[in-house]
Amino acid sequence: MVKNCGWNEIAPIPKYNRVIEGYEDSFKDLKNKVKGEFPLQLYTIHYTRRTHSVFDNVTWLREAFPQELIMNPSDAEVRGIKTGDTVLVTSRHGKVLRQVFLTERMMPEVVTLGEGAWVMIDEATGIDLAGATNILNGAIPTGQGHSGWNSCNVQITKWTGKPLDADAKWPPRIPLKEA
Amino acid sequence: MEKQLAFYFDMSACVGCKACQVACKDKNDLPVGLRWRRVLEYGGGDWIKHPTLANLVVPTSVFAYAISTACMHCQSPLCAQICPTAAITKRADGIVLVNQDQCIGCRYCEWACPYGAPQFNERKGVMTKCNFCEDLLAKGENPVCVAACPMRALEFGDLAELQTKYGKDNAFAPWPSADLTRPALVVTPHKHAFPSGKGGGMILDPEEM
Amino acid sequence: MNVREWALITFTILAQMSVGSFIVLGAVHFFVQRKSGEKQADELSDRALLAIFPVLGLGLLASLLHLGNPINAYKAVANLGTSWLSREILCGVLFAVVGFGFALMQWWKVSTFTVRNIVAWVAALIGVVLVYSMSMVYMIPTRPSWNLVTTPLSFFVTTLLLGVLAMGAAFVANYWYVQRKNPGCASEQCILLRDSLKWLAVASIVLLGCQFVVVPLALTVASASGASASVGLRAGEFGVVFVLQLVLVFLGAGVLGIFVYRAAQNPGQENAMGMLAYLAFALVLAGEVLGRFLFYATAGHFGLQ
Repeated sequence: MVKNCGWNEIAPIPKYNRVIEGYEDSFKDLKNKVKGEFPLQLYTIHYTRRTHSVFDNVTWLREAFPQELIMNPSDAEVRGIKTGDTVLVTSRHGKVLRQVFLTERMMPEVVTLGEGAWVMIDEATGIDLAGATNILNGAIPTGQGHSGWNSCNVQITKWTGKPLDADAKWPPRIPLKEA
Repeated sequence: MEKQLAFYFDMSACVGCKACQVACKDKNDLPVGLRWRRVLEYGGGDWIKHPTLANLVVPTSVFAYAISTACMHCQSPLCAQICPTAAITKRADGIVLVNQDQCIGCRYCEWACPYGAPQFNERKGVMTKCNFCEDLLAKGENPVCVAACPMRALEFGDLAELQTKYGKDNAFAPWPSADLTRPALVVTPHKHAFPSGKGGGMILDPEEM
Repeated sequence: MNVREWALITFTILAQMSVGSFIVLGAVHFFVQRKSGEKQADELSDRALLAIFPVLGLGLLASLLHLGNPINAYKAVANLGTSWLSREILCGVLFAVVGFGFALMQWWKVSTFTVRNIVAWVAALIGVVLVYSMSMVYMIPTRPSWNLVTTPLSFFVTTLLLGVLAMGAAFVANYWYVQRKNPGCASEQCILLRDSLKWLAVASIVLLGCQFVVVPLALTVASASGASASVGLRAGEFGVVFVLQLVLVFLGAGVLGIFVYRAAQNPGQENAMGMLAYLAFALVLAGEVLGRFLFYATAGHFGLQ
């Protein structure tokens, strides 16, 4: 059935399977290692503030875990970015704004953002202010052993508009009241 | 001082989950900005270019570990010494307490504390800090941070007993040297832990952004 | 920078200026009284003396603004045993009370000259202890850029420098007031004004010299004691402010000091001399405020904040 849908299968022996929007797709010329329009790999993590999307609106948790975009200082330096700066994260599918956090624990040219944030799109610009990774990831069905919803390629630039407030300072969102 | 209550922190077990921080906020109903107990990450190092394979970098010296830090209930509390209204006092059991009725909110203790323990409550206009959950201790219960930690990384007890059990060295980065105020803290270090002032790393605290 | 820091800058500058002014006035009064008699000396300095204490009062009021809970402010003298801040507040209040008491005694000629003299000396001594206590408040191990011998040194230099320049301006104002009200003894006062301004001009240049020793010394000692971050801030982010501080103090105390001295040498140049004295005071006050601003802005912290 998987083959009939045109999706790839898992081989019975360990093999490298090219991931959609993974390492290779960050280059426009893979052979000569020339980076493309979206040179960074973004993967998503199970963020400690939430269980997927549950409890994203709890203020003390938002204070402890600010849904930061985590990147390596070497990538930030070439972009003129410091910890705490607001950055625009752009992928082939959408854009989000986040405050950035720098640590050597991230591999250079790879960034991470927690999955499950509640979307908050700024109507004027179409940019998601809350850092929901589903905005960045494409609705790309994949085959066995891969997931299209947790990896993509992004470009990060320093945001020159109004900086974001820390998540904990946002007015609490209470779903029943909003409806 | 016959007794000195102290915290024991197992740095090698801490995963940086912040359950202790949030439990403390919950029990004391602290507003955003006040963290009587907080979890900080200390990290650094660098990625080295592979000598022969192009485009490959390796994290040979990268390190990071988390610490859970609150009031140290120091044996020589500088905060109590310099407070102009004597609002900060040290009890017979070693706990250092702020009397909010006596405090004038001059924030001198905030300048003096090497551990960032006294924190200013904007709404009340006075200084506040970890009180060792002394009300719970009086009932024979554990402080909430100790109770909340899923890794069992926090314990408490008499300083001398904890030191006999776990050792005396507590001056690990990013904490400053213990000589200033003699904190009542016992630590089991992380395998990458550096001594105070060393490591060349940075305190990575996303909540400071 | 927030309200709190400006409150502390205002309080420390005004309090130090008050103590410096009191000491300078005392010295001037002593020498003038020996040369021209008590009446002339009083005419020169009594009004300035009275003016010191409202300024100190403003400073004390400003210090209340930096408290989160000023209602409890009276409790701040409860820890004299170990807290320099407690001691500083006690000295501040005592200096205000004894000093203003002396000023009133002087104005209404209460009791004898000798008794008033003793009260003045006591007030001056309390003032010195006040400036010392103020500087000791900042000698804490978690603030390495403050915990240096140059902190009390610079506080005392600021005290005297501001005292000298403030009293220069005060004497000019006093002279113009006296000239309007009582032309009769104006000419004697004119000579005293010029003489005292000459001495104050010399003193301001000497104190400028002290500043130009203490300021670089503070940076060197700070670097050597591991407070190099604060030194870097003065070169980097706050570089413009630091240069401005030095330029203002140099222009006010040094350059204008020389012009005031020259104008004071010849009679008939009182207007120019007066304007110069006012300008010198304004420049130095601005420079010292910037210096104190930098003191707080480049503080840094040892350990976890």
